Amino acid sequence: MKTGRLLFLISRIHGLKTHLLKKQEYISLLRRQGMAGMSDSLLTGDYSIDVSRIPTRELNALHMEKVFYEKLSQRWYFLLRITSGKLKELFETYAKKMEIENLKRIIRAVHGKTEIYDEQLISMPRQYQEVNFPALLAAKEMREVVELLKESPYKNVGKRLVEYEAHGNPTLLEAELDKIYYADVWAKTNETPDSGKTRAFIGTEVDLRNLQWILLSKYMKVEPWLVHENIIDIGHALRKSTVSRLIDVDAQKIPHTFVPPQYFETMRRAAELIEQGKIVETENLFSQHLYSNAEKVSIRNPNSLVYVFSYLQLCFRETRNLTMLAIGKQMKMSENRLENLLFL
Amino acid sequence: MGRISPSQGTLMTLRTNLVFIQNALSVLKLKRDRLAEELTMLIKETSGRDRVEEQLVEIYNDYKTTLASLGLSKVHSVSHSTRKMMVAIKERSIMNVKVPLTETKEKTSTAIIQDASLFQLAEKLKPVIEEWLNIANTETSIERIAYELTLVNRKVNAIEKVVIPSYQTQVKYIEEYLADEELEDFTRIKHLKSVLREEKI
Repeated sequence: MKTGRLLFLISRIHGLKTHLLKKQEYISLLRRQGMAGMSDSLLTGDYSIDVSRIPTRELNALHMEKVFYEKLSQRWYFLLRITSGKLKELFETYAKKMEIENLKRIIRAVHGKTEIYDEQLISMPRQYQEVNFPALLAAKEMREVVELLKESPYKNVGKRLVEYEAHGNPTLLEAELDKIYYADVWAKTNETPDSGKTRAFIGTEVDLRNLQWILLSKYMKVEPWLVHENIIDIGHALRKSTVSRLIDVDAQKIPHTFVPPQYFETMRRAAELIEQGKIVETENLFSQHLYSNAEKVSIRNPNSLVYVFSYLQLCFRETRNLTMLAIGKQMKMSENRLENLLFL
Repeated sequence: MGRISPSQGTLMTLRTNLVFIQNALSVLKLKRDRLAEELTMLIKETSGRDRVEEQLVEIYNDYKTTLASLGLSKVHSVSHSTRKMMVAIKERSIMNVKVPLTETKEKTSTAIIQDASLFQLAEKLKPVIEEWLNIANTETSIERIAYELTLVNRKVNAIEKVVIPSYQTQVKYIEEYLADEELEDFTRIKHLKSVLREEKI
């Protein structure tokens, strides 16, 4: 039995989903000449106000990307304005992905002893920020960063500081942030309706992330202990034993190692692409699987909470596609190349 | 020619200078040959330039794809985390021509790049950058040596075609002048002796 609040949310999302760009619109954007052509096309949709604010002289991929991510952030945080109670808590936790991404950027900059500014972070409403970003941006040492995270939900990052200092690898801290994020989301899904479907959706996202990491870590010759450190313990269909087996086998044996049937084709194709040295295509293959799954879920579950999650995922796909188009236009990439990269 | 005082002293100075200039000429010729030899060797070393350029173009195309796929902020952010490659530019001397010598002080580490497409890009770029640095070294050396070679050639030509012939002319003039003067003195003395002999008789 669905509550009125949930039904209201789902019906709003059905409306909002119609705002997302369709395949034909992407193709039309692809055919437009240069960045100016692309921005002209965007002046009629959701991006009209933000894109029109960019002065013609400053019309470049960097500013466009900022606009696209701002819109993504607005879309994600808009849900918090039309929900309440446990649902609001769940979406607030899910939207922390933006905060996590910002924290990762700060960690990378501090590790590389590079300056990082506010404009380089994804904008998010102040009231939903769990950490003090101005102070974090001013931090010079990783210890300072960890100290500033002590009073936040990310305090466990501090436990990895010794390992980080020993190996000089910020990946350890980033992995810890991901673990905290997914564990929180996982816990919150239990408190809301349709938890089975929601968990299956989020679990698929984690499974694909884990599979991609295992496969590509073999290409990058990452040490097994670090591969294990980066694995997120939750998931949908991927068992821990399968994960361990996949980590232990050689890269060549991956296509012959058992993986859940829903990932088999992606893994087989990914292994082939890696062998051909097509790494970008391999990464995109996993993303494509994720977005196709979101499409399928949205079609099969139009009246479920998972529909909202699939919408959020499709918003993210739109941001990535538009960013890709903007960069491609600026870098004068061929239409064919860009079309192959787009998640259509 | 008129300015030179045609004396024995000047002749001696001119002869000493001429020997010195001839020695300097042989040293300059040696330098010229050595620089030409070095230049030939360096030109051979730049033969890999086309290949490196092709590799760089290929990497740039891959970079565009990676950038489009991951986004500018992600790529910038990951690039922040990697330590920068540190290069020291020293100088070495070839026949007193200062040519650059780059030395990689700190190699960049790709081990901490978690994103496979960026890792692949960095791995591809690492050896090419080092090769590119060597080519830049060689090309700068070629430029400097070629410039020095032009200067040395000009000096050799000037010494061979102008300075030495002018010295030789001066020496010849003084020698002839002194020989004439000597003959004159001899004739005068002879004449004087014959006058004195006639007076005695």
